[in-house]
Amino acid sequence: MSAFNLETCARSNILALEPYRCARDDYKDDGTNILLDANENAYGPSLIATAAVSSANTSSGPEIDFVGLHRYPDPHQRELKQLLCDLRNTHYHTDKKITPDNLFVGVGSDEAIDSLMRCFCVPGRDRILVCPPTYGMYSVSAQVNDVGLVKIPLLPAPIFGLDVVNIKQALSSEPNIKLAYLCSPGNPTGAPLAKEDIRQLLEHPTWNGVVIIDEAYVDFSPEGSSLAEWVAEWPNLVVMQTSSKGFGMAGIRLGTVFTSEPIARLLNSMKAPYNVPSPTSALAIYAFSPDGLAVMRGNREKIVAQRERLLRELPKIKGVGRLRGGVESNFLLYELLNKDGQPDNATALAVYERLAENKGVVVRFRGKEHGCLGCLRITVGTEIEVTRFLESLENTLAEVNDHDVVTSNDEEKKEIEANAVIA
Amino acid sequence: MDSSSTCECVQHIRPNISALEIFKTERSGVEISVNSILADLNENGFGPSISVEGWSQLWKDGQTATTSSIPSLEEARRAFCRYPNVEQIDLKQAFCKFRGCGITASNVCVSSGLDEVIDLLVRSLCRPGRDRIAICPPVYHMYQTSALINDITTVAIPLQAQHRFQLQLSKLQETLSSDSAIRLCFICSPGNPTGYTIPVEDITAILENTTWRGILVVDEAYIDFAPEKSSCLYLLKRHPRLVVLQTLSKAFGLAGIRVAFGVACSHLCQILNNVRKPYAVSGPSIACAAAALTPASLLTLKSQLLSLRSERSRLAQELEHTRGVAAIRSGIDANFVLFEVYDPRSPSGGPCNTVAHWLCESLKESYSIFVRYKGDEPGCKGCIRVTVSNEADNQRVLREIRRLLNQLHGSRRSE
Repeated sequence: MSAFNLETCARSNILALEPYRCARDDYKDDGTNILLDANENAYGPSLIATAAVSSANTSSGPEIDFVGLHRYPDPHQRELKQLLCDLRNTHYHTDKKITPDNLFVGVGSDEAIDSLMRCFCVPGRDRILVCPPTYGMYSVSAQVNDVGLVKIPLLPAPIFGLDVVNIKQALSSEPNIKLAYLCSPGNPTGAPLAKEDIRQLLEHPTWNGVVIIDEAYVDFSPEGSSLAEWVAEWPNLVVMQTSSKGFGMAGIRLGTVFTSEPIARLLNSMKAPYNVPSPTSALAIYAFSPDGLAVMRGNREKIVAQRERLLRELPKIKGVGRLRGGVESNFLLYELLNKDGQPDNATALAVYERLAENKGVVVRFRGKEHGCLGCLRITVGTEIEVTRFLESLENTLAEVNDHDVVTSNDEEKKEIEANAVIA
Repeated sequence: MDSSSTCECVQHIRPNISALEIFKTERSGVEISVNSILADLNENGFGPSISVEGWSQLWKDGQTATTSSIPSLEEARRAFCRYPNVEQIDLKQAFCKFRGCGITASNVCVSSGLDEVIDLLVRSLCRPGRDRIAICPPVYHMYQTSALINDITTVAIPLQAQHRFQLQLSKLQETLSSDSAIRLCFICSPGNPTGYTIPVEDITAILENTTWRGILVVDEAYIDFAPEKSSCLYLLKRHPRLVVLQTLSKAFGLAGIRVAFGVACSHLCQILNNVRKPYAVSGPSIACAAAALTPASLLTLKSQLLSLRSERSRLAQELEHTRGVAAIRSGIDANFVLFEVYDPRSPSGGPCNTVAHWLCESLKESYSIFVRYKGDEPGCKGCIRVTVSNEADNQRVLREIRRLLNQLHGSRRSE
């Protein structure tokens, strides 16, 4: 079975950390306690007219306690974590249940990506494995942490599956790989990774490391796709999620890690005690409540309908090539073709620029990513937005392909710049 | 980077950090209008998972709380389902206007609480396993915690406990000069838990120490409780090796939103902004921070600070004359009082951690009053830190402290 051993895999300076404890762990600001331990301002927030506000909230809306903002946030967020467990304990993948002790919540997935690296990778020595094309933040975070990259590209489009043979080989032979960051459904591929492929990595007989599945887009996938609860079965599996995509709350910055209790404890010991702001947890708690989930599911239906519409309409536009990835996210990866009918980065870049500058439609150029020649990644918008996008794309493609695309000296530089955009 | 590479504030940046570039998206530097279609960041344009009723409730609360500061429901909706703006120019400018001192938006790094910017500084300047930071205890624990997480060792040059917790300036200077591995020196002013400001002359002396080449970080979390002109922010123009930290968690009463500011030479600030996670501060937090820096809110702040200052003097005076309290150990530049208790049974009558610990626990268990035990900090034996609150709270705290200490000292009185 797996060779994973947390005590030898994690950094010793991190293993030595203690979880944050404070006097308030068992006591809340409920009007009976006098909290004079943390040098907050008991007079309340310096927001005008606060005195007039009652925090009593009778309807089912989110309860942001504006009057309570002078208090530090809850460092443990157990209420929020329990809601996340309730949502993800689907029993598609295990009979076991995950609990709040399996969770870490942070400032977007970005904090989770960074924290895992800080927990496991010794700067200047250790490395992570990534499978391009993939989300750019893994390598940015690696650079911040002075951690090296081992790249094993995904299998060719449109499957974009894991190259299990080569990944296992790398994990056996390349020294000091601590973490494998995998994205499922992939970004920019929109394609899910096969559970059996992931299992093979988790069971790697000699590799002492952790498999991380980034499920940012999983709420757009079929029911039961998330492997979050599967962490109850493995000591070396991490599943990351976010409220930015399916739940439509990129502005509140909430990311979640599901993992084994020991790894969760490490992450929670290392984090800044008050990493998640109070308005963020209040809004997230609402979003994961039955009311919020109903809205999420309603919006998801609309997105799926618009995704289907794009899949129907895009192939009818002259100059649009093949769909290059899967259809399990809220975006689609499409090839654009030049006059000769070939996928082409110059065409894709010209269309991307003109869409943004002339039509106010902003999409993402992905042509320089591995296996994504000539590709644009298009987020699925509302019905009105999709209508405008389709019109704009048709006109712009015709414009670009009717006139020769002038390949200027800085074409290569522009492609690299446009492709370097991360999120 | 050409001009910055020559500035003395960035000479010790780790190579992996100086190679970073600022995070950019298609939206950077572009005017986004309501007519723009944003299909680039895979957000959910259908909006947040909040029902119409939910929105109107939130809207009602939010509007009452901040009146003019939330412009429209649609803008609020967009603010929640879209990633926050990366640059935060408006917020930075509002902060600069409030602080003055000639700082501009290019000097400001907005961070998720002070903890984040402390960590950014350690990550950017200290090589794990090799470099060191200097601290002057008793002090805020996060400098050392951040060092631990980054595998950095800490050198401690304690404050002078018997002299208003001031720096041991010559000893600190010698240590900095003799140890080139010290890349950062953290000073907290007004100090936590000391409540004393470090004079600007001392800060200047360290900045003018040419035999040490590191960065001096002055944590001014409590600066708004101190007398005017206590801040060393104005030194920044002349001293690129200075970083000043400020927060909305204390005087502004917004600990819940996690917004703080690192103010530095624009070259170093650029590096911090490159390292920080681009969306580290959330949309709702930014909205609250912006609301707190409007003129109307700043008036609220001013009047609160007036009441707080008078309550602070009263609390300190009354504690000083409380039986069982040996001394007030803190200055009056912050929003707390550090007081020392002694053991009535001890012949020497010196400060006693057992009594301090008992008092903290009893206040919590019997009266739901939370104060902070500080007896294990250097120079703080027998000490408790109590945050200054409103008059009613302070009154209750004084009453229960007196009640408990009288119980303890009662047996002695009967002797």
